[in-house]
Amino acid sequence: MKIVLLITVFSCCLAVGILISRYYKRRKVFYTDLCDFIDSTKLSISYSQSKLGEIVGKVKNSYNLEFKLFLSSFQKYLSGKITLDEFKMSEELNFLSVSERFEVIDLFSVLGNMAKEEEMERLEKSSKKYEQIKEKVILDNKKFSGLYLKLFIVLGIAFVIIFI
Amino acid sequence: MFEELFPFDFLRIIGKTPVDKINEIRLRLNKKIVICIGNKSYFLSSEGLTGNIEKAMSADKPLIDEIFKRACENSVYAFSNEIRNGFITTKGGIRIGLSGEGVYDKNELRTLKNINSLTIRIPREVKGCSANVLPYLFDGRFLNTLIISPPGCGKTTFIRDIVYTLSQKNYCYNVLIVDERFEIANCFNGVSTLDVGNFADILSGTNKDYAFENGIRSLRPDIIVTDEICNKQDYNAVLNASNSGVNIIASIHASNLEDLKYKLDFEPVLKNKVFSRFVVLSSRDGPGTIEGIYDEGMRCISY
Repeated sequence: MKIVLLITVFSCCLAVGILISRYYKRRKVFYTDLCDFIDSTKLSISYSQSKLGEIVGKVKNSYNLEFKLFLSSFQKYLSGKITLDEFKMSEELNFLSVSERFEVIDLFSVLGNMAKEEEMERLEKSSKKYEQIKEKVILDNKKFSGLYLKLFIVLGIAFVIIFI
Repeated sequence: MFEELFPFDFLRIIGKTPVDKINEIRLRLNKKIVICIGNKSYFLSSEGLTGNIEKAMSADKPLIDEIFKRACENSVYAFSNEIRNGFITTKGGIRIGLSGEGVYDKNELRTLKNINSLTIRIPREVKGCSANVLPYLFDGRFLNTLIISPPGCGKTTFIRDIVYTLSQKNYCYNVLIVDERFEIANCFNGVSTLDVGNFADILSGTNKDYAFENGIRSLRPDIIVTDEICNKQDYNAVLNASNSGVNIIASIHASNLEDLKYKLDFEPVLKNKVFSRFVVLSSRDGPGTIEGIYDEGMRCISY
């Protein structure tokens, strides 16, 4: 019975560690993909003036799950299958804070609304902003992802030792 | 037809009208929505068509913006040229005329902003509408033909049907359709969404100057078909093409033959007798009413 309890406690600590570590990884992956998407959209608009639906359809599958799911939701919004409000409520970005989520959705909900020059200008600004955020989340991931995982493993081991 | 263009609530209301008969929907900011069926106009109410202005719905800014955005497939930047020219053509050939505020950059119109009215025109295939006229357009060979009418009288439908009927009758003319505004064949991803028969090459979205010159060189057409010639460049393109041994079917905005004589820069086309047949259309008994067919001397040969 005691052994089962110890294994459960250790597993719980490990799970919390993995979840926190995954949170940082998902943020890193999302912002890296977002920056890449903004860059490729800038190129597509500037050279071929491809429509947004075509751009998203073409690149969607080359991204990681986090961003791919978000793009799927964006695609639904573009094709009129969901409303702007439903798009804003989409749960694919639950690893971002409310303000971060609001900013990303705000960028996507106005994407394509402007003439080429203004659109390029806005994407350029967004690109710079999200590059900075990307640098920060990469650093955070490096700092905290492994750290929290190790910390909770150590915590789990400590619990096991204490209870033994 | 309207599923991708209209937001759900508006689509539901439009669904209460005889959708397949609508020619035009006019949305003006904060004004009553007008729907044209044949040559009659009605207001749109939440219950469908109405003649009562009190019950009529108005077009608000979010509705106009949403339809404009959908017409641009959420990619306004990809429609810069069309917006500059004052219209967008959507999938299915629906043409949306725009009005708003011009934005200039170094004396050049860059775009329209604050769009405040949309004129949505729905193309109709009326197969056989040119059948009565077609015999007059031959004299051993096909004759250069100009279709004349005010806006909204079925010129484009008429021209499209001529091309279709020529194909149906197995006249193996190589027809080059110069579809500057995507209205005649409405190509989407290169595929014509309106029936123009089996012998047509379609140059969409290019100006007439380019299309006439390069089309004649590279596609060897027997007949060039184009819509709405309206300025000196277009007239010159027609003039040059007629001197290249290619036949032409074109359309122009005018109420009658008299109006043509007063059109600025059109004189050389008349003087050189480029066109041998003039077909005047009106909407007197509905769009496509044939008012008269005239020969090169502008004598009426049928009406």
